[in-house]
Amino acid sequence: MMDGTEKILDTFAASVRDPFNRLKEYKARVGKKAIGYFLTDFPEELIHAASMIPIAVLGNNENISLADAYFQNFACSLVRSTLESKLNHTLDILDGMVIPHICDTTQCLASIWKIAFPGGYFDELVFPKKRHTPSARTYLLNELSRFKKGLEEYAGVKITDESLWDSIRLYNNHRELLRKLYAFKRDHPQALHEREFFTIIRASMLMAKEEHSQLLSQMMTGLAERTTKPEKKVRLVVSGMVCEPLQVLDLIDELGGAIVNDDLCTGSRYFLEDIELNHNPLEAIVDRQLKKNPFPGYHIVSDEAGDSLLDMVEKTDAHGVIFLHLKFCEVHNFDYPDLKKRLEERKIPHLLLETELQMTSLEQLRTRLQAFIEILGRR
Amino acid sequence: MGKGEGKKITTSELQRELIGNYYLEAKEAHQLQKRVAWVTAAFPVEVCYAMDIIPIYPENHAAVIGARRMGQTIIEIAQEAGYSQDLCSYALCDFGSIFSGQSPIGGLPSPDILLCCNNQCGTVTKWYEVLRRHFKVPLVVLDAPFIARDLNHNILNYFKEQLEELISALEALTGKSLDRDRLKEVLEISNETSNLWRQYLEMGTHIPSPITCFDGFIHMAPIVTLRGTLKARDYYQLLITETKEKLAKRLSAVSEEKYRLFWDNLPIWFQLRGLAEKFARHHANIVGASYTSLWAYSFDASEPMETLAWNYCDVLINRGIKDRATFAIQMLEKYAAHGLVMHSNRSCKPYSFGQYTIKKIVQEQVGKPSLVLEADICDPRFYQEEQIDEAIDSFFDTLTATHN
Ligand code: SF4
Ligand code: SF4
Repeated sequence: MMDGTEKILDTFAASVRDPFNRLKEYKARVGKKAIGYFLTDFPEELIHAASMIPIAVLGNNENISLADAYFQNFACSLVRSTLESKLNHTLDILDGMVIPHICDTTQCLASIWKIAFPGGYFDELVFPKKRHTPSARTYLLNELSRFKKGLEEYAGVKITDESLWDSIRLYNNHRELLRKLYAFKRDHPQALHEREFFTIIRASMLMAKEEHSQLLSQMMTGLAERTTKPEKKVRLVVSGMVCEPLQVLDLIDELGGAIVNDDLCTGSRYFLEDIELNHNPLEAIVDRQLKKNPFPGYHIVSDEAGDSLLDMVEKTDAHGVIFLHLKFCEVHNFDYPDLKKRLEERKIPHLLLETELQMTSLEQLRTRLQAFIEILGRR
Repeated sequence: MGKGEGKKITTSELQRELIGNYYLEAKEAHQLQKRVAWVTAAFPVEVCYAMDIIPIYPENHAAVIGARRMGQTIIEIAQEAGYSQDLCSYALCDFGSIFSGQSPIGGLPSPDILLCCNNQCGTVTKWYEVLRRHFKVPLVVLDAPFIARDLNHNILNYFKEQLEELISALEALTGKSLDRDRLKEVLEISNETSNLWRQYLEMGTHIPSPITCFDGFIHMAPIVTLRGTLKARDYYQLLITETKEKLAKRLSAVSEEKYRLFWDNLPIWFQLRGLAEKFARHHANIVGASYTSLWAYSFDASEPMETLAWNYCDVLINRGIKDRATFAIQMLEKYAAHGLVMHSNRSCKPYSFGQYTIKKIVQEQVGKPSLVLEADICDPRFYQEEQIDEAIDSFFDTLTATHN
């Protein structure tokens, strides 16, 4: 029996609302362990090839109280919320956790985690902050080999080249589906709500890839039916780490905007680059890590960040850019003024919204978004 | 030199002279056919001195801006340009000063190259990227991966390769090749100077202590900026002589020293004196600081690349919270201190997040309390005098209760 589009969207929405309940059932069904990981650029394929389920830990919008004993209030809410979920046992269904080093705050999160929750599987992946030198590549390759060995020991499974290629192919196919979905959404902005689209992406990080891939391809066949009543939308690029709170997406929709491109870790960044099927799977993973779009947590050479932002705007013919930053995120705050300058040189309108996962009042966001989208609509 | 006949020069006079000349030379660098590099606080600057490149420290300049209480004005200029107040205020002081020309020392000479090592934080990488876009000069980043487990060969080899990349960049800049023997010489001087600095800091272990951490903060400028030069070495020789004289006279830095404490994190530059007085009133001396100890390097000049890699990767704040807690406990013992004073420094996320956990570990393992002061290095808007006073008073209430 094929489920209809609506039903599949409901499944995705349910998994985003309550990811770990669903995971519990799934784990019991397939008899595998689940390993959580913090964003971004995480080589999930390695966990998958070790016969375990990689699950993104994305934080949530609940209030933070327990984590206050560990973090000052000037840490970003994504990190504080992640720790809160661990402290209040939301994450108990996970068998282990990996926190990649992407910024000073995640560095401390990992350090605290190890002390507060001893035992069980835990790893800190320390990515190189340089991306363009042979020495950085060698370093990353060694770091990933170490990580791979640890996974093998924990899972009691050997990650062979063959099993890793299988996982890579599964993930590549899945990424291609998401890219197709994005292309479809660009052409038919009325067919998918913003919230629906980003829910599909989030769900893909919270479900087993096999399951998500299957549901996603099924859903896409049905989507074509939704392509009626074309409507003029204001085309937007969104830049940041994550889109939080998700109500921002509802507001964009309601106010007549459509997101046509983004560099979010819970967006394009997750599926833009495939792993090339060449000589050696681990090296192929390394090469993908290093060639990805510049995430500001890494060292950005020359004008990469600005170039890539302008490119996103031009390629998708966007009317304007929304910087959707999490408060206290240093890496985004440092890049912002020069990115803003680059946009202004090209007369591309932009808006900076600073949010937190636990933000309760949406009124101010609405007012600012409304004014911005209205102005763009008149151009 | 000194004012009166036969009067010996003091370190404070010498520091004024040293730092004054240092900036003077840097400003005339181009006439002197020398190159100027802007460098981060824990950069392997020995390579610069070996190549006759003058290193300039925006962080040190920012500290001076903070200490002269120009922080708020200059930070606000950076904010107007779009830089968030949530960023490290050293970076904000630097940006504000560049954009407006405001500076307590007439500004910094502009850089020919930017040299950044992320062993202290990720902040500096992003900060120097901004500088690169502003000054349009080359930027070399030395990536010292965070020591999550141990300082292994993967990290060290990566760093050593980058040192060679750095040397090539500097050779391209100066058109001269590095004299490797000269580098060894510089490393020897740097090592000697670091040893003197350590010796000075350890004078705080005497009971009562002739020095305070606030003295350390004031005397650190030469070890940071002139490490690798004979001038810095001479400075610390003089400082040790001076301090030994105080020791001989059994002079205590704080009258009737009753409590001994150890400082964690950077200073609150605009409150050095104010805080010193607040603690002195309780007959408490903060006898040392984790921050000043960061510059107590230990080089083996016979293996330049190896020793540079070890020293500059293994920086205390490039290590995890567990290692930092162990360090804190060692220091409490070494300095016979009653507790920690932690500056929860809003600017410095990697140094400050984890302090609550360190506090807990220290309490559990050695039963010593920690006082957490929420503040900032340069931005006085994050310093709430009343709250600080309350926190200090109640800390001493507990300390007195446990010690009587
Ligand atoms: S939002 Fe910024 S500060 Fe928070 S984890 Fe991501 S990169 Fe780090
Ligand atoms: S204060 Fe902290 S964040 Fe700022 S430059 Fe220094 S080490 Fe980096």
